[in-house]
Amino acid sequence: MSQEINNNSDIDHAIEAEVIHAEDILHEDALDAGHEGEAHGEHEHTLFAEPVFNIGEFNITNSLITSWVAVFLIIILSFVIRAKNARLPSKFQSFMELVINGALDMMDLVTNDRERSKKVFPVVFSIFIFILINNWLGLIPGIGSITYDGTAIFRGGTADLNTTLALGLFSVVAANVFGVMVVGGWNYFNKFINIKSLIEIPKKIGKEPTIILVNPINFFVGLIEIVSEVAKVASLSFRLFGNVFAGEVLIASITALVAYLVPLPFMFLEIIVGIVQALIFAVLTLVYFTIAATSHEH
Amino acid sequence: MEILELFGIDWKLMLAQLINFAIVVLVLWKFAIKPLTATMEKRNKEIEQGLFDAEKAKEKLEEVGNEVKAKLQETKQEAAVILEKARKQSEENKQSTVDKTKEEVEALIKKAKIQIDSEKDSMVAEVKGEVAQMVVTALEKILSEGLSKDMDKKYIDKALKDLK
Repeated sequence: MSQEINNNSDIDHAIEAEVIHAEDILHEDALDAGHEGEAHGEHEHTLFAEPVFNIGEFNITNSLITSWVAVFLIIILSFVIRAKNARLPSKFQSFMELVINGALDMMDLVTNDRERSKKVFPVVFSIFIFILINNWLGLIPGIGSITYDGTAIFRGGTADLNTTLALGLFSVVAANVFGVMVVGGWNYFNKFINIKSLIEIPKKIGKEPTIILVNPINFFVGLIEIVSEVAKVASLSFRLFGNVFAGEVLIASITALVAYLVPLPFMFLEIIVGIVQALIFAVLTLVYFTIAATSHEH
Repeated sequence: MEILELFGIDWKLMLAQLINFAIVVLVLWKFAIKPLTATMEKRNKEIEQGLFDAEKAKEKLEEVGNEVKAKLQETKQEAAVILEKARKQSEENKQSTVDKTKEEVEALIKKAKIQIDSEKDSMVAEVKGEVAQMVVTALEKILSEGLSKDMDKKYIDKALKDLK
């Protein structure tokens, strides 16, 4: 359990650093946009994904199109994996098995339980793959210059707050559902509205008089947990959106300044950021799942 | 909400992305992770079983080898016994055959001897008779007159007896 907390705080530190980094870049971008935004016309980056066309009331944005491409790629990958699935693994299958085994081993560090890792693996791994592909699709050079009616058709799926918010909501809601499934409805409810600790006071007050102070505090901690659940959604979605969007803006800006060679290191940086952000999102989801599944013990 | 507008939040888009993600989870799980992990687990089990079987086979092989060795030893001993027996028997046979032959030969020799003896006796008697006759006739011819028949005969018989 202490290891988990350590992991958690480590990740949080990393996240803070990332967020600061992202904010800086956003700041620069705002200045850039002020000075040079007009000059580059169609390459201007907006905070929101632009609608390419619409079906009735429904706006099909460029980020949504990119997400569809990502989904399509993942479906192809899945079918290739299925088609190549054999008792004696090919090189491709060996690599995939390596990835899955590595991911499971990594998850064991958080959950400390192989069975639980296996249970949440499909969700966590899907989050990782989906975010990773979306991050990288936005980085493909020149992808932003394919336009339709003056708006870019492709924009990284995770460079749209709608996507990250949907994923963040899913992650937190799924973690809570998982918690209810593992711990039980009543126990899970008491994590937030700690009626149990209030009931305990008259029972145990004879033995430990301090309980009259401690348990009301526990009750309020439970209430704060509700706020923290909302904060989780916000932190997950804004972190991912901020990093990916900032990366795309950064590369676009650098490319606008010097078109050749100079953007290359930034490209590598953003590829790594793409992995790191996908990993952070997936690991945090796993952490939320694990925290939700541990019953509140005194 | 100004912030929602700033980021272009649209619940329909969020729903669409959620559906996208659901498809990803479903497809990845159903078509990639599930079969792959199943294969991996199956293979792990097979490897375990294989190792176990190999160990067992090794044990069995050793057992069989020992058995073969023991059997071979037994067979060797049996063969030696049989050989010894055969040798003894053949020796016995040889001895008995030799003895029998000897006896037979002896019997034959004896028989031949007896026959020869009897033949000799009879021949001698015959010769004696014939010689006596010849002597009688010769003497008769020589001494045709003078001597009586009875005296002659007596004389000759006596002479023959002395000759014996």
